[in-house]
Amino acid sequence: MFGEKMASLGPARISPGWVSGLFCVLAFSAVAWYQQPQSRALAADRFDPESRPHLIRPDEPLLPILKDKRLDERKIALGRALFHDVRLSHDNTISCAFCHDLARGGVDHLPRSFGVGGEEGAINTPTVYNASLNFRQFWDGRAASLEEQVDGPLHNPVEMATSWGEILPRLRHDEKLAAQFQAIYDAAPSPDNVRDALAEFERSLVTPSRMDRWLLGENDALNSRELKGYRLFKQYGCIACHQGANVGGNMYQRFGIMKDYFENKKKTTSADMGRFNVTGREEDRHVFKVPSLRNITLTAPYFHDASAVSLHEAVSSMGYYQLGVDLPQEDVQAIVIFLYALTGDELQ
Amino acid sequence: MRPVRFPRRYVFPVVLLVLLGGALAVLYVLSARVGDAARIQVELDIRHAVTLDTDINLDILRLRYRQLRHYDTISDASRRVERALDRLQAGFEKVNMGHALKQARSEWDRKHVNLEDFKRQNSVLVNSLFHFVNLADRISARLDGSVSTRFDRLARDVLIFISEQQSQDNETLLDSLERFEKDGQEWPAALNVERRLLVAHGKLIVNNQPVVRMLMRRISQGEFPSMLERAYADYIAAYNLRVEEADYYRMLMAMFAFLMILTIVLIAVRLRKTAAELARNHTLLNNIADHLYEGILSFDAEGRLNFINRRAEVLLERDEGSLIGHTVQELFPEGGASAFLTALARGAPYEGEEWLRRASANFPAIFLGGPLPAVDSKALLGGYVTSFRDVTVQREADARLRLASRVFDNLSEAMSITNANGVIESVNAAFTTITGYTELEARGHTPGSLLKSGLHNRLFYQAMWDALAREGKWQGEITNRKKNGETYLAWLSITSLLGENNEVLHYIALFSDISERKRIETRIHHLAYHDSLTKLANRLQFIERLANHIREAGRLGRSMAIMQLDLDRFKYINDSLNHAAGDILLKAVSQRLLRLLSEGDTLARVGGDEFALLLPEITAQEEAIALARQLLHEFDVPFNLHGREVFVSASVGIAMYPFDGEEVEILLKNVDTALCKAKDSGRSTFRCFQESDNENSLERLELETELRHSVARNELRLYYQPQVDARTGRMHGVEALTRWQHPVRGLLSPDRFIPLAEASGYIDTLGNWCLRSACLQFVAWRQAGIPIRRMAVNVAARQLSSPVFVDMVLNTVQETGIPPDCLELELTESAMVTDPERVFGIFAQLRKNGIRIAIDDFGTGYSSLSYLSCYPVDVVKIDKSFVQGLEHERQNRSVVQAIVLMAHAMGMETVAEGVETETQSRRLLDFGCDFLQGFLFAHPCAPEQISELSCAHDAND
Repeated sequence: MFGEKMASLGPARISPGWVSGLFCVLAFSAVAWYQQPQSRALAADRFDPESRPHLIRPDEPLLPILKDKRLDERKIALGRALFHDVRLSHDNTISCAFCHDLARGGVDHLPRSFGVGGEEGAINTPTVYNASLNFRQFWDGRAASLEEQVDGPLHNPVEMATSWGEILPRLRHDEKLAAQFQAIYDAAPSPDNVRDALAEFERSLVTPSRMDRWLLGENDALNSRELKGYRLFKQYGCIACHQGANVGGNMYQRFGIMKDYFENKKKTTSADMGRFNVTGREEDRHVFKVPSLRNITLTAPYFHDASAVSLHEAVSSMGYYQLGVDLPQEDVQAIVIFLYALTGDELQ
Repeated sequence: MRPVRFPRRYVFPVVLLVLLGGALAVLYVLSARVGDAARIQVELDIRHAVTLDTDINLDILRLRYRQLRHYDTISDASRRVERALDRLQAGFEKVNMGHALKQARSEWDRKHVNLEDFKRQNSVLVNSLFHFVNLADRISARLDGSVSTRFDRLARDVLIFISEQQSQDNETLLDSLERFEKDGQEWPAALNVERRLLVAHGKLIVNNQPVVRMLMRRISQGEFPSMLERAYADYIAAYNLRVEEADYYRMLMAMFAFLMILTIVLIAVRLRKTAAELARNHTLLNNIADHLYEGILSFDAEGRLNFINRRAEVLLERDEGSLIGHTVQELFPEGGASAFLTALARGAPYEGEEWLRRASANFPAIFLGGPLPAVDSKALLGGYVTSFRDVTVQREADARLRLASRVFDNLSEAMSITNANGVIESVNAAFTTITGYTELEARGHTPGSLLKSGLHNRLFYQAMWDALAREGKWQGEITNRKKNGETYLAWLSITSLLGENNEVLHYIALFSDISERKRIETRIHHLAYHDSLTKLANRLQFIERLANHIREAGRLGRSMAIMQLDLDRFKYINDSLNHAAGDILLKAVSQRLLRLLSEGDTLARVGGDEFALLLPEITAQEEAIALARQLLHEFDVPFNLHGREVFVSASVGIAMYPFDGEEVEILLKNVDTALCKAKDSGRSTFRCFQESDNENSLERLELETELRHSVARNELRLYYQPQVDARTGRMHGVEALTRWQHPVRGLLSPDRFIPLAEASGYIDTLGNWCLRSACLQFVAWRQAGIPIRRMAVNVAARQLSSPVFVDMVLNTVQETGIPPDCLELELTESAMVTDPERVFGIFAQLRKNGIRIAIDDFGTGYSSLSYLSCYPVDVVKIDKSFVQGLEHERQNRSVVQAIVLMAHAMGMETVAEGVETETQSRRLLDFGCDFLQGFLFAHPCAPEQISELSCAHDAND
């Protein structure tokens, strides 16, 4: 009895000042903790002058490119693995690399690729190289970003024909892969993570070429024939659309400005409608994203319908339909020679 | 014990505290939803978008005029604007203003479409213009005549049109181009392809130019920036509302926080109150616990002490700090209290008595303990609590009661307890022994009816009852009758026991049969005054008679003679034959001497072989000499000792009163001197005392002179003879004995120089020195840790006549620091004879200061046993002559026994001197003698030897 009384006597002495002081300290630290991420958010998305090289030849309509050094190597590795992962298809047969063969210019050289179950696609496969430099993705520009693009082939029934619900459990089941995700994103594989990793990997697939070196002031990078081809390229007006860093890929244009391309075509498909499929505007009929000419020598056949088997053919067609000119054969040859200078050094 | 419950007075504040805390958290989230950061982000994004929009507009112009030749910047800016818009959307939705951005977004979408169209059309226009100019140049060079003129005009019109300084509208221009295409007859056939191509480009230019211009206008005049501004205004309005809201929440937050603090204060106040109550309860409980007459101890489950009240601290003589947390075993003596410890271990109630440990002395206590219930659920037992009470007093009282009852039963005196009416309630065993009545027989009767002898009259009893009523007690001799009819003399003392109101509760009658004692008294008297061997008067009686005769003779102016007779070589006879022979000789001598004496003469045996004669009838020295001759003549006949004829001679000393002394002492001394002279003259003769025997002694003068320097020359020594406790054999005290280390004569014993000192008056100085030295020695021993209790110092009779004797003694005591009750002054009986009143006064004064008085050489002096009771003394020292006679002379045994008995009856202690054998020592112990002194234990020795002796004693123990 006495023991109990004595024992309960000690801790009963708590001063009110002490308690309120403790409370205040807790409150302030909570506020400080809460405020920090907000101020960090403010700093994001500032224009980074380092991302573009200094212009040595400012009057040239083409812009040089460099490898982006600020990418996350871990994400690139993960994205590369996913890019080659057949589990991203319905029946575990097809990976991204199946059609975008990195060893062969990022394409499969088929007029139209075959998807799950041997289904044939609707349109010629564009290269994955330098895709990050395109202002929008797909021939009709329906995806605004690489991330957005991922879902396209994934869900397309004639391509990978699958869904996130099908893929994610597979990925999560792979302990090693899941651990990689955990390490990078501090989360299990999710649609956003997979998209981000793939996009980051694709951003690494940028291929500077001799042309870039010339643009950066290295005069010996191009020989005289190439320079002649480049001059013709500009003179004929190819440069009007194929300009900028990606030599195209930053605008839409109608296929058949001077001559109606589709008039002579035996059979037109919905793919031939181009951007019309996206906007539904009449003036967007047969309008396509102007494709990049980088690595063009590696990506035959050409055009959305793979109608040009060779580059000479493609250049001639472009001259005929877009410029209304029957390009002399030697000029076509000169332009093709120039186009070889656009092939990425590492893909040679 | 009930479980500790959450006190009800805290329920409300704590619930309130929780609610307030929840409310605060909610308010905080609400108030933190909008912040400057979000607003600034929105503002930045608005500005960003507007800037990008301006950049785009500028780029459009630059593109149109070929200042810029690629669309990367526009594409990039567009993407940035879209991202900014997405962020803005999120920012707006934070303040629920997502719809405000709708207009701006759709405006942007329109602009975006226009931008894409512009890029497309501009490319076409630029391209056509380039080809048109090239073709025109090429064609113009190959044309001539009117065709050439018309072609040049057309080409010029198109170029003017393109430069927007229209000379013709586009319809007219188209017509012209149409006509030019159809008007082919004048046109060289070789240039037909170029003509068709030129027309196609011209048409494209004319058709596209207005489209591009329209697109540029739409792009640059778009409402996008102003719509953003408007949306921002809407946002700010909403934001401000939110900020106000947040302010409101913050205010609420402050209020709630304040309330919270109040609540906390409330809790704190209540806690403090609780604490105060607890403290009060605690204090109260402690107060109660501390002021209980009983000690309280509480133990935890492990048997460790966790509470002790003050009473227990006092009882155990330990403080709380030294006990709390200690084990229960520490409280008890080694191995004790097993019953209590068992009960404690089992948690069983306990009631009983145990001994508790205490520094000063262990003590018995009554315990009443039991287990405590557990405070929490962890342990089965919460501990053990017990109270205890010191029962030392009760136990002592019990012991006293038992003792009293034993004493009552074993008392040699009869005791009866009656009620107020005198009816017997209880009697003891001695009562039965003396009266013959058992307690059963005695109970219910009055002592009067039971024991009355009929020898006392009514007046006797009347007086007794009167005294009882008046003084509460009566004592006296009474003759009573036993059960068997015998009468006996009893010394009866009756005491009345009074109650609170002075009423008589009981009478206690105590009596003993003194018939026997009366007989012993008579016997002792005889023993005291007569030599038991020769039946002659002893030294005591002789001195008494001499004193009486001196008084009478002095009054009548008569003279008389005293003689002293000593057997020559008696010691030789005693030693060569045996003691029995010596005894026979003494008896025979006494008988032969008695034959010569007449009626009034006294013959006394005053020492072993010394006889003294008091002859009041002989008034002249001549008569005395005649008698002495006759006496000596008696020794001419041999004595028959156990059939052996022995010749014994004697010497006689003669002194005459008043010529040779008027006092007993001087007369005895002088007659002794005369005897010594007779012996010196060759024995078997007589000598009369002559004054010159004393005065003219040369040796005496010499010694006296030297004695006066003895103190200054440091020639005096004190030797100490131990006195041991007869029962334990341990040294109790010492007697200081003076020796004179004479430079020529060697060590002299006191009888050689004390009389000299007394006669010369130097005794005061000498006595003073002895006393002081002895006291100092005693203090020194005490400081050295020697367990000695008594220092006996001899005082000569002459010293008492000094008027400052008492002051001297008291000063010495004070100056030396000896405890007064350790100092014992030994005086001979003779000291008391001369002026008893004065001596008694001195004794009384000394004893009042705690100093003890001893009578030395008791039994040899002039005093009588009957005087003993009158002396204010503490110790009686039995003379060694009695002690040495113990083994052989039965008479001596009785005397010693009587002395011891009487001394004890007077409350005095006894010291036996001259103990030399174990037998003596045993006898003396049997008689009840208190202390013993003699060669058996130790010779007089130097101070250092006393220390050694003491150590040896300790070692033996």
